[in-house]
Amino acid sequence: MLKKRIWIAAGILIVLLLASVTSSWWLPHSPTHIEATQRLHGISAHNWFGTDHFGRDVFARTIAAAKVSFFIGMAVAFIATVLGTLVGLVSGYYRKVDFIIMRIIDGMMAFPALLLALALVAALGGSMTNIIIALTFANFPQMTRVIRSAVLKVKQLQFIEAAVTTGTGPFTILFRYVLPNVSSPIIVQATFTFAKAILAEAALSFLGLGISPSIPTWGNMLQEAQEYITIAPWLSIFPGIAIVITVLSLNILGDGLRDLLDPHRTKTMQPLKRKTQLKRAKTESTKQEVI
Amino acid sequence: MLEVNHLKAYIDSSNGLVKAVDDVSFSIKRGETIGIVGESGSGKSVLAQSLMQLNPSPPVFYPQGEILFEGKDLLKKSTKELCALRGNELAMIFQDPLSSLNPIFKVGRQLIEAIQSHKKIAHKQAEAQALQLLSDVGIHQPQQCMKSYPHELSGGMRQRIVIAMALSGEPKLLIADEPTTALDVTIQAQILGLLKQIQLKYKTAIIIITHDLGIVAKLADRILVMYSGKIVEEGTAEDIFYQTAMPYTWSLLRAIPSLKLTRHDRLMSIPGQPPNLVSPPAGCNFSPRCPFATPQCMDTEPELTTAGDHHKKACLLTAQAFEESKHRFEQKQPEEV
Amino acid sequence: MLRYIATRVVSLIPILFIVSLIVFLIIHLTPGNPAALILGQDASRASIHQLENKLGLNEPLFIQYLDWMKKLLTGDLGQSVYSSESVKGIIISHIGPTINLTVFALVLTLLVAIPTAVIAVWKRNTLLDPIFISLSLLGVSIPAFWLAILLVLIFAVTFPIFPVAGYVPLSRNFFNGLYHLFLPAVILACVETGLIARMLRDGMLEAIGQNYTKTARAKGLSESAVLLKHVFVNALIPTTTVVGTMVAGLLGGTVIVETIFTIPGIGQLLIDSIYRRDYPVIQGVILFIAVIYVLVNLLVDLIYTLLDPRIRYN
Repeated sequence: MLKKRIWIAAGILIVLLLASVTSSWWLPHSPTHIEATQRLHGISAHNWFGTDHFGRDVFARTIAAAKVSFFIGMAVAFIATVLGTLVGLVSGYYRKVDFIIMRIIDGMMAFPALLLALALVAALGGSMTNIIIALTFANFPQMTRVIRSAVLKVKQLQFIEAAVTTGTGPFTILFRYVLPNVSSPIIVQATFTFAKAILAEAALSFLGLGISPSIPTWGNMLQEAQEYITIAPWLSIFPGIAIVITVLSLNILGDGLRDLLDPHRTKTMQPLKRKTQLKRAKTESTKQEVI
Repeated sequence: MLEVNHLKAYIDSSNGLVKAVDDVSFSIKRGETIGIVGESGSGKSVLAQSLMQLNPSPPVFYPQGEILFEGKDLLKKSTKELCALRGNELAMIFQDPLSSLNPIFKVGRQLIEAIQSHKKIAHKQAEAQALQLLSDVGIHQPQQCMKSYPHELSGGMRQRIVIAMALSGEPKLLIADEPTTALDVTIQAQILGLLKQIQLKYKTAIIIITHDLGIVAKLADRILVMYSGKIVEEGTAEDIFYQTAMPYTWSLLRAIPSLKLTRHDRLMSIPGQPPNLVSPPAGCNFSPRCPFATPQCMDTEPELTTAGDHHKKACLLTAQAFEESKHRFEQKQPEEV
Repeated sequence: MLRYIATRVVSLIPILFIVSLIVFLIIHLTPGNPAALILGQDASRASIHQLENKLGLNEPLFIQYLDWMKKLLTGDLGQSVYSSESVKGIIISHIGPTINLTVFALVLTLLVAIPTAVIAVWKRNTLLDPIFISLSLLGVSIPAFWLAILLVLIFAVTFPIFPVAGYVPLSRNFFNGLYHLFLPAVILACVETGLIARMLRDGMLEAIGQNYTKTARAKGLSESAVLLKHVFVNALIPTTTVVGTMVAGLLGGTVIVETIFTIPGIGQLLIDSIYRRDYPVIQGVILFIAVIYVLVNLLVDLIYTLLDPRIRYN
């Protein structure tokens, strides 16, 4: 049941991503082709999602926009994860720097993420790079917190102590012992960050502070559509559905992964084969374990 | 008073059906003490919780059997009827006294809640009764204790409170699931003494569930040894300790460290792990770990058969064969070291 | 207890310092000349120079920060470049609608989230649970602005039940005011409801597995008494900690919702100021929201320690 959920969510995301990346080969219409005679047409066999105020095909634009959203989401998730993991590891492991780092993180988290991103984009300007920088900056403190608390838990475990006593260097301990044990929260948090970044990018574009309006993104499409909401509602509906499907899939994926990777869940025990059982019974009945 | 007949309690887990309790029968009389002994994972806690119908359901369900309490089957009772029984006629105390008490409420409130859940009496009266109960279980400053939060008290105190709570309805049967496992040894003795006292005073029947043979030896009139969801040996403490008739019980006894052991005696651990209850081994469940298992043990499942007056065992070996195997085993030991 | 409050308040100082630093740096580390940014591309060099002098942009960054901080501590947030009014005054004149909207949304959130979570846990072995999970995930996955568009399309355009936009101060006409705030509040509440209901449900399910719940059942309490008295109350305590996060979400959401529904709150003020490149106002609004958020979190923390006896005196 749980695994099924994860596979379905991952499947949807992969199909969307592939469809969007390969879209220039198979889409019947170009997402940027202007057809002045076809303005604001409704849903038809020719234009599945209708056309916009320039006569551009909304289906083509929705699919092509996925590319941009995925790219931004992935970039933000990746950079925020790497940064958050590094800072979280150091902060969780070294008590001395922890205080300072955490106060900075607290300060950064005092801003609602969207507002921080807004302010940064307002200051930096709305290019793709700047949006990625702004969203990374807004999301990585959360990541750091999650990883730090995971590190704090792992740090107390016996095997870390054992490694310290045997003279293992701090670098090895952090990356060979601690990191693998905090990988589950990292993966889960990265998925959620991906989802949040896509939502935030759409919101920024919708507010007119995102990527240049010439590039089709879901947020840009919705922003343009707002003017025609009463006469051409399909312009608003389809890009929105695309966002919901993508973000929902990511959230289901993250939620499912969290349940799957949760250490509290009892691990599946494979029943032993009958033969192994018999063999074990024979060997062990002759060889008593003595303390 | 309580009679369990052919009870099965299975857990519907994602890994398959776990046969936590598999065809268990026993009975207990008024004022009697029964000890149920087994390793963790032997199904003893599930069994204890089935007696109160406290197992979460799903995943636990009862495909077969009956639990007769004063002639009526608990498995057929409605939730409402069960609520009326629980805490009143049947009471239960759990292993960890810290987590058994709600951390955010004061002790007094939790105790009064237990009293008022069965008797419609005023708060003042319930409070007086709570104080009485607390001094009954040996708490010296009941007033102060009522005003404390669980985390402010010691483990022994907390277990006394849990016991006081269980006694609030003057139950006919008290089920104690590992009542002393989380406590220090000295406190253990005190709590066990308290249970004994209570039994004399209220004529309560007690079922003690534990992995510690030492505890049941002191308290129990009869002992049931449980292994992988089944009862494998049943008898008085005498029978179990001196007339051991089942290799599993014998292994358990050998694993107890004792002051009487000399340097030459060796403690023995039981090799292997308790069996997987999803797909238990064919034949005797203990056969894969049994030092005396014969090929027959791996195909035929032993029934619980009579081995003495009140003594029962589930083992295919005859008493003589068992004695001989034990002898041979002990002879062999020194050579291996 | 007093000592605890005092230490908590003192611990805010470094956080507020970082907050002020971030707000300051966001504007001053931007590529290009802030004065040029404010005036736009067509500004003459002379006017840029004039503004630089006026804003003290020629001083070293450190001196600029000290000056800014000095004014800040006396409550002076500077002057709007756009309207020459004081930033403090502008924020105060916009704060009312935002407070009304946020509180309304908060109340709606709790009114929906708490019963839903309790019912979901009560019927945890039925189909209701997966439906609940899906809905809460859906709530978190819908962009607020798109939901706003949809709801306006349905409840204001197709079926004109609610106004498309606009704001009526509650002080002038309370019910008409609420009526205008209803759709925006529902939109804000939607996301937060998904989050908090899920958190409560998870907390309750965890509490159900605890031994004290078993003890409560063993006492003979009915299922409803066990759920409401023991499980719910225990789950509520950790849930209070996310109320702070919730307020952050609501404040962030107001930016979008106020813009769509043309509510003259600080969210709209922020967006307008960004379009006008009115940096002192942008700074002021962001700083204001961050300080509010920090204070809300402090309050939540103190409430938490009051509720949970285990940490009260530590």
